[in-house]
Amino acid sequence: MDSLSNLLGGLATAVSPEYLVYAVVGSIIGTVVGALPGLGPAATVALLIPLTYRMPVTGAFIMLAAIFYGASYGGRITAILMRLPGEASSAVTILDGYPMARQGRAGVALSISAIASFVGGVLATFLLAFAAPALTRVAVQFGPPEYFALAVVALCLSTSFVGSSILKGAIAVLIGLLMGMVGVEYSMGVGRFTFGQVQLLDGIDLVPAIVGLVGLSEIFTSLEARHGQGIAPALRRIYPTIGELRSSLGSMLRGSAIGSALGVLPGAGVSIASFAAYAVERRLSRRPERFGQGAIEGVAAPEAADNAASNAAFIPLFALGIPSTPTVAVLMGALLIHGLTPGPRLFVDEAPLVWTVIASFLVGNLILLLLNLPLVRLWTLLTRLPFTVLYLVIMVSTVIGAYAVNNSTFDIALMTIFGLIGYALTKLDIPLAPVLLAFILCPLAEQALRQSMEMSRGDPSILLLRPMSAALLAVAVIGLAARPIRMAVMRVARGGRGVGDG
Amino acid sequence: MVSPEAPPHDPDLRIARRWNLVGALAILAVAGYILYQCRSWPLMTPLGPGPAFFPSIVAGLLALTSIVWFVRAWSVPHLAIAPVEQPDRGAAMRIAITAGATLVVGALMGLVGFVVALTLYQVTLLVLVTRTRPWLALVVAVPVSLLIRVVLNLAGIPTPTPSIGALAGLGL
Repeated sequence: MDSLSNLLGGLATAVSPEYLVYAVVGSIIGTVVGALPGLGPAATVALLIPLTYRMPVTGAFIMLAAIFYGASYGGRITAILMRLPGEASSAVTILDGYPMARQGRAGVALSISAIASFVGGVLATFLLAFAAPALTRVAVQFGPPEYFALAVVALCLSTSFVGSSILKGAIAVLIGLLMGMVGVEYSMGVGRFTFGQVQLLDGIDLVPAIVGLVGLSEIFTSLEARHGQGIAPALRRIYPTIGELRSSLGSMLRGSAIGSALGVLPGAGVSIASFAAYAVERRLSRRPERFGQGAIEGVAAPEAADNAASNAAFIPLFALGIPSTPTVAVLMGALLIHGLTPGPRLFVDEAPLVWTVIASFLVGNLILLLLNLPLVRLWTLLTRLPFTVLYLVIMVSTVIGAYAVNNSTFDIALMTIFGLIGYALTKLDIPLAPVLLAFILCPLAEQALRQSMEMSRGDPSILLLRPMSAALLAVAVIGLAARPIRMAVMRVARGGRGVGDG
Repeated sequence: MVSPEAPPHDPDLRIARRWNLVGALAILAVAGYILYQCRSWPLMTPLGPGPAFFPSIVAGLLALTSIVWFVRAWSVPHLAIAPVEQPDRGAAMRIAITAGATLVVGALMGLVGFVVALTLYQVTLLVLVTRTRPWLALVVAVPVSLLIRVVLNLAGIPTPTPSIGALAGLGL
């Protein structure tokens, strides 16, 4: 009851006109930033911190936090309409969002993703309000073996992302892992696979790799048609039907639960959440073959998970002072600059501020929904643009996006190379989503494995001796084996029927 | 030794089989390169896994999976491979021009400056890929390049300046 009364008290403050303005401004900036590849939320929040020096601390944090979760709303716009993910997590939305746009259902995909983001954000906020301390206690029990096991689970589940064979899914994961190994290795400071390029010592940057693999490769594919391919043949409906909403409600709730649970984990959660939600949804579906072809659940689940994880990422920050993503680390810096120390004492010493900020997440998510739903019609106009205009806009924005991350022209060339690799992989029916997930998770998995082995003095059995990591590895094995076993059983059943019939 | 099935009669399947075999070999070559590179780093250190540990495992698995893929595409192509739509000559040219121009534009920015390079890039794409008239391409490209430069500079993102002396003073 304490949490509820605190939340209501915070809500009363958060809806005051002054704080509403901060939330609206942050939401708009976040949406725009999320839609643009290159200028990510971490950089934007960092750039805007100096502007908040003269603001009241509550207002400043409401605005900066709104930029963070607003970016996960914005990321879906270009992902669905142009196959250009503004953020790594939006890459999953592409899998079914873009096919929906190509079927003339861009409006429905955008609306469902906005509603799913809202559901995910609101549920995670309630979780933040009511279960932060308990969840944090679980999260801190995650050591290197558990993180490695979690990465293995995510990678194993991702091998069956789209209708491709497990063999090609496995090849995709392994390619992604190799991409993630480029750069300095920290046990001995060796530069691996850098081809003598200084720019690669820090590893391959996420934005050029994602934009190249997913966005540019799609442009190359659409250039195969003589005058290119427009996005949509015709726009049928803008908003989803009651039936579509009903069928995606379960996906939204499951995605929210997965996002909330994983968002609490420092380091990996937000990146994995949307991938994990998609994989689970595909596994649970009675017709998994629809996934990758424009399944509405394939948009609803990852969007809910992404926004839930973005909001849940504040739980370890507020409860323990641990930033779980780079953007939350920047937000933590903003709190410190304003004289506040995140951690267990924050809920006691600065209760009104913390509860106002938490309540502002509810307000901010509502603002984003109200802002985004009416704009769906405007965004879908993008699908009516002639190919020449769209082609130029996409090419120029990818070039600028790749350049703006590190102010490096090298990244433009890197993006192009990844575009060609993505095009070749698509031609060979190798799914791109597992490549991306493995690329994102590789540094975490390698570091966690190394730390685990150091903890056990080189004995890998530590991964099986700790209950939580053993359970996670069991899930990975079951996930990997389930499909071949199911196929074998179906083959046997078909064979048996055939004999009987004959 | 796996004996291949008779070459498929379906031309699409023949093309798909060829692409899949080439793809599997290319990935096998990448795995071989990684394993070769790993020879120069220790597999284990006194504290645990060394720099070669993780890449060796991943490259080994990649080599294994690519061999399985190759064998399946070779022996049972109708079961093992998905059809590959091969781009025609015109499509290949459009893709090559787009990729080539994007590869070059970054290097060109350091030489002739951001605005000139971005203008040339857009004109190249518009004229050679979308067959837009050159004058119209210029009319679009110049203001777009100038506008992007202004926006980037306002956002605090510096743009490359030309290294060619004659252009350096023009602020492009």
